[in-house]
Amino acid sequence: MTDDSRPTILDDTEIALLLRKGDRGGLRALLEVHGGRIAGVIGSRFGCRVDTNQVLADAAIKVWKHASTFDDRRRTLRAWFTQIAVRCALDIIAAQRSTDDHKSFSEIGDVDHEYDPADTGTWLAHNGTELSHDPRQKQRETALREIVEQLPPSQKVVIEADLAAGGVSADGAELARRLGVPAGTIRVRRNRARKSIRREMIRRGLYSEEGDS
Amino acid sequence: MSDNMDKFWDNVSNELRRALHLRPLNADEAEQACKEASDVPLNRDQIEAIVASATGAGSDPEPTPGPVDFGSNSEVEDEMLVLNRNAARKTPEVQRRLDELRRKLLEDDDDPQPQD
Repeated sequence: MTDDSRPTILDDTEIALLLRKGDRGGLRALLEVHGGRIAGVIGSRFGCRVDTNQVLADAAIKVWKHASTFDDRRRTLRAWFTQIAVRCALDIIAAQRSTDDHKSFSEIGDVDHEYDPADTGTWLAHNGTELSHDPRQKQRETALREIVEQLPPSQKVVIEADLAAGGVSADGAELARRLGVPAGTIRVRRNRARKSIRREMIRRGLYSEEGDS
Repeated sequence: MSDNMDKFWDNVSNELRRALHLRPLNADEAEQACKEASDVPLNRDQIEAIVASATGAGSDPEPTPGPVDFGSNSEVEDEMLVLNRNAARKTPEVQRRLDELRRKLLEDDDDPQPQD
């Protein structure tokens, strides 16, 4: 079903109003109107790495708890919900044990003083956006994806957890628990994976020893 | 891990995050991602399960600043939601009733506080 054919009765302003009032009908309407598209975003970005239903459920909890922080002057309701859902997916991939907002989001490295579950804070200011159309950059990113894709699955899951955690080392204990291996095994896999990525990037001319990536 | 490896990871991790889509989105990116994504409609059971999970988690939403009357519009909103659920059977009468309810909902919110 496309956006055009969907029977949208409540608009975003009305949905936001209900959410702010703590009316669960607002959450239901949000999922009816935008849930399908956001499920599509999660599926296309993260594939089988996360359970879309779990991501939506986690995101819905944050929307419900923080509805008063939504500001329609800064973004659309759909964008807000999408940002929250993406961050919930990252938390799952990063094996963040806690569902506490501040802990998990601060570990991503971009929490604001005034908490906003969708805010990307300073991270994006320092690291650019995805909306670049530079073909060389796109080509380079494709090569990087290939390199990570070639890792053994047992190493790839650790690297993806690290990246989802903000590039730092993800929670090794939680990863070990989830994968059913000793914590030391996670460290070994992480080191091997990083060495493999570095070796392959150098081989492809994507990274030099001087660190000029 | 050696200094070389640490330096390498510091240099490339953000780029890898972007390449693998393992980073948060800003509002423009989120909007663009929605436009490009396919629609995977949720069925009623999924929606109800998510709503029950989120609203029954024992955590009330943050209070809205300023006076909010949680009770005055509940009947109106309940009726709107019933009509919303019956959207596939929308008739002129349903549409007329929706418009009327929507007007009432907005008017009630704009009402000034009663003076003593």
